[in-house]
Formats: sequence, structure tokens, C-alpha cells
Amino acid sequence: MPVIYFLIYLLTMIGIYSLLAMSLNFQVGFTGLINFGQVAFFCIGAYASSLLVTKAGAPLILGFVGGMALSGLFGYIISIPTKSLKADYWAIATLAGGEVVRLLALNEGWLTEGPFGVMSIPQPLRWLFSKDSYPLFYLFLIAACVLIIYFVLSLLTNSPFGRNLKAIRDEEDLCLSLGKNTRKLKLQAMVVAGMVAGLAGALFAHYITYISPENFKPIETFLMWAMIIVGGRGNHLGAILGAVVIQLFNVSTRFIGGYVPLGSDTMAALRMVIIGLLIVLFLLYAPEGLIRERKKVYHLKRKHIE
Amino acid sequence: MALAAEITASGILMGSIFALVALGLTLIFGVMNVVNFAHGEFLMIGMYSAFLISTFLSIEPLVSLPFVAVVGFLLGIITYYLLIRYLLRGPMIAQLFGTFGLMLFLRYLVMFILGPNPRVLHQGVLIGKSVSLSWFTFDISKLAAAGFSILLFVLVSWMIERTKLGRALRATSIDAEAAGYMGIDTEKMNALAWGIGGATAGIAGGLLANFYYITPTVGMLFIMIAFATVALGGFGSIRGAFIAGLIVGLIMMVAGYYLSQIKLAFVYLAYFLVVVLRPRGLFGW
Repeated sequence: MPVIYFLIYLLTMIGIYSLLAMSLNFQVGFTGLINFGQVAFFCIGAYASSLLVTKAGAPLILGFVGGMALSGLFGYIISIPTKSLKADYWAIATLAGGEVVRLLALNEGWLTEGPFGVMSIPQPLRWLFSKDSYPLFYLFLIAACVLIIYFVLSLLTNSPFGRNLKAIRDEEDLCLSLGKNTRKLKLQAMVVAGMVAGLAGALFAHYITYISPENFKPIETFLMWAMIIVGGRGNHLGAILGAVVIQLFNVSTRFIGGYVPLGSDTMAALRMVIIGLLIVLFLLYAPEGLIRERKKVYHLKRKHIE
Repeated sequence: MALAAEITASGILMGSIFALVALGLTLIFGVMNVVNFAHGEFLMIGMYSAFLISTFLSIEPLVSLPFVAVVGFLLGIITYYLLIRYLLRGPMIAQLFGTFGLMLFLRYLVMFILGPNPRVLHQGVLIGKSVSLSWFTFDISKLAAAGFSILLFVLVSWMIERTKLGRALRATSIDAEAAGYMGIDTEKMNALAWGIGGATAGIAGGLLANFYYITPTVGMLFIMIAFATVALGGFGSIRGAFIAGLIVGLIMMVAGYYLSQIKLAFVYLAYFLVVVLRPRGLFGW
């Protein structure tokens, strides 16, 4: 039944990328922080968790927590320069930051095994299941994570904290003049986003069981961006929908590769051409994405509009 | 001593190429405040154009430079009229991602058509030759590239500082609306900035093709360096781009000598330091 396993794989990857897209959306769609180094969180989460487990011999749960914590710490570090940088300058800084993380993973061989990557990463609760039923269990695990993160992020964004973040996105000066500490708020947002993406990284590492710097190239960040541009920013469902659409497209075109007389390299290139085109077309004709953000109006009285 | 001189010299040579890549980026940003993420892809297309023209028409790579410049110029203009013009009406976020989508599109279109394998130019008056001074040898192709870079910087600076066209460009960059009232066709000025930006990136690619591997993904490396260069020199500053290019080249060569693998990390580190300590860059305003 290879089709079933393919489907399970597809859904698992959609789940992992949903987490990454929700994290990115939390930064971009809610706080207005344009992060081009999202893959760094993913990378740190994956490496931290798998190294803690394989090298330090920590229990799996500690690996996951460590991955989230370190990724959150990176969010803290990368948000420090936001105090003095304009949005586009900071965006470029994060792009460089993401590359630095990957270069470190590639070159600090004593810790990360360099280009060979970390092998035979153990899987959680592996002994409870047979070889055939384990992927299904992992899918449920990831689905549970997506659901929990969805509710946690929804709670956050509907709270006063979330309203503050949206205020920063829409009008930072106004937010400052109302006495909000926007720097601290951005910092908190980046830490939360980092932890979510770090969780995705840990889940990915323990699912694939082998990671190398090849998995964390800048192209991954671009895919996550394509997800939230297509799905829509400023709401969590949009991020998930974007992850579904882009991953379905990405994986299904790999699947039909056998029926088209093109090499796998050419197909991969064509796939990215179409995703690039999709981004441009969405920006030109549907800049809000598939699911629009529902803007709330608080305490609106008629006389105020007139 | 000889070693220090060699590192310095090759740093300056490489740096002047980086400066040339950064020139177009800083020009486009200076005139219309748009960060062109596809700039590295312009460079890559310049490299491929030089490769294709000189391989299939068996023309000397140096002679292909004007053609490459035209390709880059047209690419810039077409990008402006087909994409940027429409994105400018949207929110700032759309401007940032429009060029980013274009980057993916161009990079993988080239990979789709020409395949991912690296190409190398084999024939040309510059290729593989070097001059020996008493203590070290220069790669002629790098020397020529540095020469062209300085020439182009002088040319573009002269155009912007001294000619009427340049004055119109500067007026557009300072206040597009007011420039429009003075009868300047700001739309054309924006397109011109993209054209010049594309042409300089194309020429940089044509020069690089003489001594660097040509792959569809080469743009990523150079755009990262160019961003660091532009930020270091100050967004929109042409003089800053040149000096910052030399600094970046020197950092890379010195770091590359001692820690060959992570020399790029040092460039980013320098960028971070500048960005945090002096966000305007060395020559920004």
C-alpha cells in the first residue's frame, strides 16, 4: 500500500510546514516583522533536539524542549537589532542571520558533523508501534501539535498582547505614543515564533531521522513565504491553508514526474518557477491571499465615522 | 610582508567586483526605495549571457560585454514596466516580495532551461592568464574586472552628478512628486534607474564569467554580499558602495586566508555590526 504511506508522508510534511508557516505568520502577519531567515529557527530546533538526544544522551522530551528553547533564544537575539532598524534593513539582516546559522552547522563539524549531518536520530515512542503503524502515529502526534499551537496562537493573538502586536504592525508610532513598550513586545513575539518553529524543527528531525545542512537552505524560507503569501496573512487558518496548497503542489508535481518526459532536476526547477510566478501573481491580483484577515473594530460609534 | 601585500591586493580586486554588483542595488534603492532581491539573478543572467554569446557565436568574452550590458539594461527596464510599476501601488510588503518572487522565477527559469550544472568559460584573451610582479601574481581577468568596475563607477557618478539626466534622477530620488511638478517624467526616471542597475549587474556578471563558475544559483551568494556592501556603505550612496565593496573584499580575503570555510560569516558579522552601531551605513544620510 505505498499510496497510503505517500499520503501519510504528505500530510506529515504539511503538518510540519503548517507550524512553520504559522510561526512566520505570527511574525509577519501579526507583528509586521519581515523575517527572511525563518529557516534558522527550523535548523536550530532540528539540530538542537537531535544533538541533545544523540550526543548528550538526553531523553527525547528534553530534546524537544531544548530545541524549542534554543530556537526561542535565537528569536531573542535576532530581535535585538529591531530597535534601530527599518523593516527592510532588518529583513536583510535576518537573511544573513539564517545563512550564518547554516554555515555554522556546515563548518562546526565537532558539534554538528558538518556536511555529513546527524544520523540515526531516535524517534519518540518508537518501541510501542510496528514499522507499518509508526508513520500513522507520528502523523497524529504532529496533528496534535498543530492543533495545540493553533489554539495557543489564537489565544495569544486574541488577547491584549495580540492586539498590541497588531497595533505595532499597523502604526508603530501610535503604539509608542500610547505608552506601549514596542521593543519588548516585538522581542516577545519573536521568542514565541522561534519556539513554534523550533518545535517544527524538532518534529522534522525526529521524523526524518537524518538531518544535514542541505535541509536548511534559504530556499526553505522562500517556500514558507510562498505559503503565507498564498494563504493570507494575519490569520492562522490562512497560514495552514497556504502550507497545504504549497506542499500539495510541491509534492504532487514530484509524484506526476514519472509521467512527464522531464528529468527530476528540471521538474524541481519548473516547480520553483511556478511558485515564483504564483507569489508575483498573488501580490499583483490578490495581495491579501486566499483567506483575508478579518479586521475587528472596537467600540465603534456612528458619530465617530461621520 | 609579501603575503600581506598579496592578500590586500586580491582583496581589493575582489572588492571592486563586489562594489560593481552593489552599484546597481544602491542606485535602485536610492532612486525609489525598493530593495531588489532579484539583483543577484540579474548578475547570474549576465554571466550566462556572456557565456552563451561567447560560446555559440565564438566571440571573445570581452567583446560580448556591450551585448551583456544591453541584456541587463533591457532586463531592468522590463522588470520595472511589467512588475515594479504595479507593485508600487500596493503596500510596502508587496514591493519587498515582488522582487523576491521575481528572484525565484528567474533563478529557476534559467535552471529549467539550461540545467543546474556549472559552466565555465574556456576561451578568451583574459582567461587563465596572469601578470607577475616581483612578489606576486595577478589574475589578468580579475585585474580587468577591477578596472572596468572603477571605470563604471566613474561613469555612473559622472552621469548622476554632472548631466541633466542625472539631475533629474536625483530630483526623483529626493522627492518624486515635486520632481513630477517640475516636468520630470518620474516614471521614466524610475525605469532608467532599473535599466542602469540591470546593466551594471549584467556587466559585473560578464566580467565574473571570466573567472568564476556559472550556475543558476550563483546569484544568492553575490546578492548576500551586495546587501552587506550596500548596508555598509549606506543605502543609496554610490561612493559608499565602492568603498564598502573594497572593505568587504578585504574582510573576505583576510578571513578566507585564516578560516577558509566561514569567511562569509565574517562579512555578515561586519554587516551586523554596522547595522546595529550605525544603521545609516558609513556614507548614508
